[in-house]
Amino acid sequence: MDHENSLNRRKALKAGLTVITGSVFADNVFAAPKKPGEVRVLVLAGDYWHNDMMYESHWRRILGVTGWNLLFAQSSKFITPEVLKDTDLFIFSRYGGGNPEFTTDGLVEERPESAPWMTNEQEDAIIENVTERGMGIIPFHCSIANTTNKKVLELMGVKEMIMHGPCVMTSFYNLNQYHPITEGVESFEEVDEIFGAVMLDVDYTPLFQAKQNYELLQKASGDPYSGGYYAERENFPLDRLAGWSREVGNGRMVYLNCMSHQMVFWKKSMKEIMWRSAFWAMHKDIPKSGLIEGRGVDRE
Amino acid sequence: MSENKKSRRKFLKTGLAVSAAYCTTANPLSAEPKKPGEVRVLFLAGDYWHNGMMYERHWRRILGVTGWRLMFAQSSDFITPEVIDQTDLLVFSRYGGGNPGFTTDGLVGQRPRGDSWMTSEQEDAIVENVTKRGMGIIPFHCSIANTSNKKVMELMGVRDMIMHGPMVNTYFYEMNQDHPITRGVRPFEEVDEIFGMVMLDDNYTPLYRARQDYDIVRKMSGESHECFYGVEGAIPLDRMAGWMREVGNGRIVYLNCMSYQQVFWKKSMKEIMWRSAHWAMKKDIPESGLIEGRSTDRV
Repeated sequence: MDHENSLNRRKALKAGLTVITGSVFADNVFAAPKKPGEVRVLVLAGDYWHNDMMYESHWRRILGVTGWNLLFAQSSKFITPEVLKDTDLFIFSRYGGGNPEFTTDGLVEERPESAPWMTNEQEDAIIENVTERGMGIIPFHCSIANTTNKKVLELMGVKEMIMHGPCVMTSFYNLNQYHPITEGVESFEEVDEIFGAVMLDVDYTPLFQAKQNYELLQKASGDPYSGGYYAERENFPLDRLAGWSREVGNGRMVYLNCMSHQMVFWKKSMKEIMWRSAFWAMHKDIPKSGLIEGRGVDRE
Repeated sequence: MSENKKSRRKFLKTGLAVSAAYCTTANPLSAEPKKPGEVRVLFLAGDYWHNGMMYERHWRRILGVTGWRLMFAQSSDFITPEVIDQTDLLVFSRYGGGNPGFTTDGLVGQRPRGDSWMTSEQEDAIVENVTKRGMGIIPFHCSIANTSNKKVMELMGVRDMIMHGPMVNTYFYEMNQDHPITRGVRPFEEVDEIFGMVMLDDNYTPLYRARQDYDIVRKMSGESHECFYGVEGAIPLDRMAGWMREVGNGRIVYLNCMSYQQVFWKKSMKEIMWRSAHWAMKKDIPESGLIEGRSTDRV
């Protein structure tokens, strides 16, 4: 009897939670019309390989002072065409593979099946909003690994992805002094992973290169991973385009092909690139950032 | 008309806040009395430095076949004394520093401040449940970085933490052949970070060691991170990477490694996780059926 009661109570509570959860998901802030002058920045970042908490912390720290409405999606299912049509800038870094799904349960006993990323509907909405409405996008790091999303890859100017090597000391150099995102930004060194890209024969502007020491990389990763990381292939030199920009239709795009781990976000140059990319992608003038070097602080 | 819209929005916001409060505080599963034979395993893992999604996936894949109730906390706020009282095994890896808070919002406009970990109340509940009730614990990786929680550090047998080096290929060796967690487990190599520690003058049993090549570590991390990582040469990167203790009625297994994904693909590491969970709860250790591999753990 007690057992039955507790089961019923549990069912009732679960049902109640489902209803409540439904209400949480059914309406979100995007249901409200944009206020005059409001700038909406939508972010989807993090997966099995990349720490979502860390990404959110750094993007908020860099862009939080702007007064823009920064919204971090806890699941790709919240990146709907309706949400995208009210978005001024979409920042994303997630590869397609099975990511754990968001749930409102405080203690998660059963993790729901992951929502896919990126669906055809999401992909079409991104293309349309960029090329026609002029939404800016900053895909970064592993967004290039969504290899089946050919339309978005094309938007990025990419024909094929090349896998990155392990997280190792990297020299970021050759910063484009003729582009407002990188003009005056200093070269720097930091631990990171750098994807490679075979670019399409389309217009794009290189922003900076990244170089890793092959021998060190090979030692650090160990033999079992040379294959996976393509570190043994001499025809894949680890001197890669690590950032570029494009203008497609009415929209602008900045691809930042680095930014896998924490330390690169502590560098003044990287912070400056993030700051300027956000303004540039939205066709906005780029104000002084006030950004400084450091792990725990970004401004005086 | 505009007022109506505002009212609707306010109403929705209020409703959402109530719903969110309900969802995040109700915890119906943990408040429910345990069924006979039920085993509850509670997890808190992930922070600014460590990927919570990845940890959850691997622990579920290793222990999911047991039929135990595995519960992953989305915030340390859910690790209450009441929840701990009903827990048979607590697996945790989180350092004390500012972690973002949990919210039920699908699109997070304002992230709440992270809850502190670990509070004195949580610490006392852990110590009491381990030593008196016999709850098992598996603190791993950066749990050792909660240096102000002296009681839990003492429970682990640790006096001081030494910072790990960067992620680099690591040799895991000297598996203790006299302990059921590591007997017959093979040494292996994998990329990982290994904390160091100064142990208290207390009983503990080493399970295995981990060694990194100093020269590679130094080059990998670069000059700027040498101090941060504490690898200037005074601290040799040959460290005890796992040990166990029995304190009062409870058992502890500390796994001082397990920072990144790749180490969870190794059969030996999977086996250590499997056996540690059983051993910490004083259960017989059945065959795991675990195999080497990234995406599969069993045939």
